[in-house]
Amino acid sequence: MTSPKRIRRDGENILIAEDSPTQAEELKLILEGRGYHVTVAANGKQALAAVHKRKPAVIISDIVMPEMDGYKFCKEVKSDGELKDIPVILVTTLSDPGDIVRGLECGADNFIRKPYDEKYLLSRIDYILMNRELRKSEKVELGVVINLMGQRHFITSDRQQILDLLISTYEQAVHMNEELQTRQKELAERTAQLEAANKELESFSYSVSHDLRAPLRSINGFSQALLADYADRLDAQGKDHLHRVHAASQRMAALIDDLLNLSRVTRGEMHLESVDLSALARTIAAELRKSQPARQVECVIAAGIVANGDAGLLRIALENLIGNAWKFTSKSPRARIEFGVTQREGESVYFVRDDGAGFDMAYAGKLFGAFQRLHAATEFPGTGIGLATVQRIIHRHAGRVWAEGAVEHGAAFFFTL
Amino acid sequence: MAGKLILLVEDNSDDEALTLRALRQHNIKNEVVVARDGAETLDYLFGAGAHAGRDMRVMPEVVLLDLKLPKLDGIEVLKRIRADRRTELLPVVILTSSKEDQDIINGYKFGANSYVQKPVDFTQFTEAVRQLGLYWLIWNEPPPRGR
Repeated sequence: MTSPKRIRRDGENILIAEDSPTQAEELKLILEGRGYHVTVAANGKQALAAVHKRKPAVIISDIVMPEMDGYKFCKEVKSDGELKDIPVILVTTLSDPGDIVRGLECGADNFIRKPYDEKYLLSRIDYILMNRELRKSEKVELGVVINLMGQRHFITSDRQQILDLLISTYEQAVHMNEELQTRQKELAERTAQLEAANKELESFSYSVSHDLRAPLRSINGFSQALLADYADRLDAQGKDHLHRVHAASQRMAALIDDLLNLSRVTRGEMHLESVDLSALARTIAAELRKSQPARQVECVIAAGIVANGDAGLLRIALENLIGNAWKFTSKSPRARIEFGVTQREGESVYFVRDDGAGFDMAYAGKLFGAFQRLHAATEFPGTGIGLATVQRIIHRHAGRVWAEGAVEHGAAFFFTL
Repeated sequence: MAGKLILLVEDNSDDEALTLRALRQHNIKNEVVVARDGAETLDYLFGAGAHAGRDMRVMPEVVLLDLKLPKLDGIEVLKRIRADRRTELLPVVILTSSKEDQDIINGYKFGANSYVQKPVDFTQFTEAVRQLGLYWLIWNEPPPRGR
């Protein structure tokens, strides 16, 4: 008992009206940690009974509670001659100016915001207890009428009370603003970090494009030089080994190119515009036909499909989807590839469908992963990056992509934009 | 096309060997001067450093310029070439592994006459070098001498 603060806290009683047991417990722990005695009531009614039984030094009440809410409870306390001197702190989110007026109307002394800032909460209680005597001396009961949002409120709180309530409101607002500024600073730091990471990624993909290609060119070039210059000194197996080295270097080159395209698809800026998907699909189909004129493929492309998106990215997506359809029908003497749109639950769903090799639905989830392949490279060549690229493009458009298929019964790829 | 000279700027000895092989394979027998970094390139072009006192009447028909080079990088070399009256019109072809947009943009921005990505596939690489040789040594009209 060395300081007045110490004397004040010991034995002082605080009543908490709070319907959430976890929140009540949290508050109780904070207050008991400072030496207060704490009573908890689960709603206004219970709280009022508790106040009548034993008068606390301070009441801290939640607003939204069953049976009797915080405003009603506060009003009951303040209209009872025996109890009205007990300071009432209302716990609010302060999201509505109406809170302040209703708080004034019911005669509340202070506001505190959830979640609790321990330091601030305790300093508030200290302040209230310190001014308790002051408060008792002023007994002017002047009524003021306030109209707020079409509602009339009658406020009889004394001047000290009104000032306290408004100051506490203002303090809470300042506090919220500080928190917001801290968060804004954190956000700016995070953004800077992300930008740095992005830059690093860009320089990484630059290295990939430059540094990995150079040794690959050597492997490819010198294995071919060996085949050209020393063919007479190599037996069939030796030549076969060299052919494999050469082919592997070409596969790796394709992988590097696809990986770079994949990263480009993720990094580049998007320019949204109206894109004629039907025209795009026709161009792609024509190019494929030109590349393999002997193939019998019927391409059915619905006319007039226009979507909003990035033309370059959507072209890459359609190239991959229609290219896949072309590739996986290559074993059929006659094939059919279809591009169209349907409406599902009020949403445009675009699709590319073929009647080719299809896939086992059990592996449908693996289709869109990078390097995932469901067919042997000898059967259908590819790097396994095409559908991963498609997925990234569709996700960048905030759309979804999925597939349906059956082995030897074709595949259909659907996407939304 | 005899007597016409190619300046190959290439730090990778494998790429150098492959380029020379591709040229020889297609009977392009012109002299190829190889510079292995940016500084050596400028020394050769301006007759400085190790190339001090060389016959400055001899200038390459075309410079095949790699971008990623030790000391001075390709873009820096290109800027110096364009900034000097003696070489401002010299045909420069960027021949690099990179296909990054930024490299292509910078290449043209700082005055490259052409930009070619080295194909990994040697058959394609040989074809690219052959066509470059034919185009720049035979079909292209170089800037007038003695300016």
